[in-house]
Amino acid sequence: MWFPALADLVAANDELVDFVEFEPVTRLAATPDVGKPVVVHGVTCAVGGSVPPAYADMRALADVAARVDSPWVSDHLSVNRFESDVDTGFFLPPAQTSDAVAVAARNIRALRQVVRRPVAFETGVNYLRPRENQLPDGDFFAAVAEAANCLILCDVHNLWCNERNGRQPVLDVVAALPADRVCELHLAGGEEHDGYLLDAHSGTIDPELVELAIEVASRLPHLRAVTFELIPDYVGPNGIDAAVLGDQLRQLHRIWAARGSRAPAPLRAAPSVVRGAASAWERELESAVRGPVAAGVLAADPAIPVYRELIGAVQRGNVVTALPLTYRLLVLMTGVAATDELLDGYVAAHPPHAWAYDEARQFQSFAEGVDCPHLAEVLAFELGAYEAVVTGERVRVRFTCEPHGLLDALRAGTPPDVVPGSYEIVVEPPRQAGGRKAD
Amino acid sequence: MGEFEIRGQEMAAPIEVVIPAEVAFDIDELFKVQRAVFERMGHPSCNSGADLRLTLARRFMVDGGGNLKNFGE
Repeated sequence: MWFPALADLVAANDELVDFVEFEPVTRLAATPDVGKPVVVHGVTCAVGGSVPPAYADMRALADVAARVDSPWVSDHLSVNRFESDVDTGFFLPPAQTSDAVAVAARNIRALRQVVRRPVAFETGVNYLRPRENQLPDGDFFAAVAEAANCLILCDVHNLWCNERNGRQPVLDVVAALPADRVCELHLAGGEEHDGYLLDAHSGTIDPELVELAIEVASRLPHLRAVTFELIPDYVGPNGIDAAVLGDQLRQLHRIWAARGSRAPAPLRAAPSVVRGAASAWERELESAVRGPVAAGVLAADPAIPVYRELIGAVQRGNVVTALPLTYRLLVLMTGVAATDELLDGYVAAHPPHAWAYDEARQFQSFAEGVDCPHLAEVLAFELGAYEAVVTGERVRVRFTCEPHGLLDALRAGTPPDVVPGSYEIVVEPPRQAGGRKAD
Repeated sequence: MGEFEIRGQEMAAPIEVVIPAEVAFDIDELFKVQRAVFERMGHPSCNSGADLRLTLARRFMVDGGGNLKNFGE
């Protein structure tokens, strides 16, 4: 999986990299230019929920796929939006019922029509307990693939997390899949949290998982790609340098070498109808993960507190990522504890947004009236810079102090020593870099 | 990073400062431990694990001597 922050590590292992997988997570995404084939992996067009992917998001994914001539496009068999028009803030597991199969198949067909190339769904991580009145994981994935006539991206790390967290064993899942539809494997490192193995993409691939993936690959005669997923945030903290990445890529080559070396399992009969409306399941999910207290039939699942914690962490992460100067101002002027309390209150009261700009605007509204000097100005400046980039128009922001001193201090992470005054910052869009003469 | 433009009007008028957007978001300056933050400004990426960004944001604080120190950890 390619990110700009991994470019140096990837370049250092050029001979081991046959392709890169690209995840366009922003509306301004630049495609990788690394002299390798690029496969597009979406995160904005999840196909597992009753709310279908937005046409604009499918169109954006199609444009990226066309630019790099991606051989297929993949996205997640997950729920990322509730019918209440609220973003889930996290990939949540769909119901594993016949209705949910039909819902996913409809979404996949729609996505395929827009991207105009083969579509694969990723087998998702599911921290919930398996439910007796729903399909086993492998049967569900197989049913979706057959109903949608699509490819499967088998995320072996997700399936391994699921097995370790009490769901169907990996090899049983794989035995249920139509082997000829599996085009890609994902591998990653995870981390333990509150008794769960999380699909964190946080480090190297567990050696046990490598051997399991070799066994999985041996049963897949039409496998076309094996991908290592790693979030750049973890590179430094986990000591992943070029040598470590090289070793990981060599393991992937071992997995690749094993593909199709065994006869796949015979195709299984389609499962019988399993009742349960996808939309009803999603309303139960929303009741469990949203709001001040978990409610509904899923509230008792031991994974719900984990989901609530992870969803809150992502939302806080989006706020501090979108508004780094605002976050520093709050910490420097009010302290870490007060800032944490403010963010906790924000997350508890407001649903997450899929896009960081929308999250930042929502936080700006929430933060009105917060007692912190220059907070409104810094918020307006950070949002103004976004707007200048997106609209291509100049944006004006008023300050009640000399802005360079304030903003330079925040950039350095030092307490600002401001000089009062009346100033107006004009933020120029990128194509008009540099100042302009006075009128 | 920008230039002051004093418009020479009455004292109540603001002093104009022009800053290019890409300088406003100089990622290398803002996040020395997470250089690729900008491509993550959007939908969460496809991992289903812990989110480090708040933790990383806290770490990027320096004292008067320019030494990086951890706030609140």
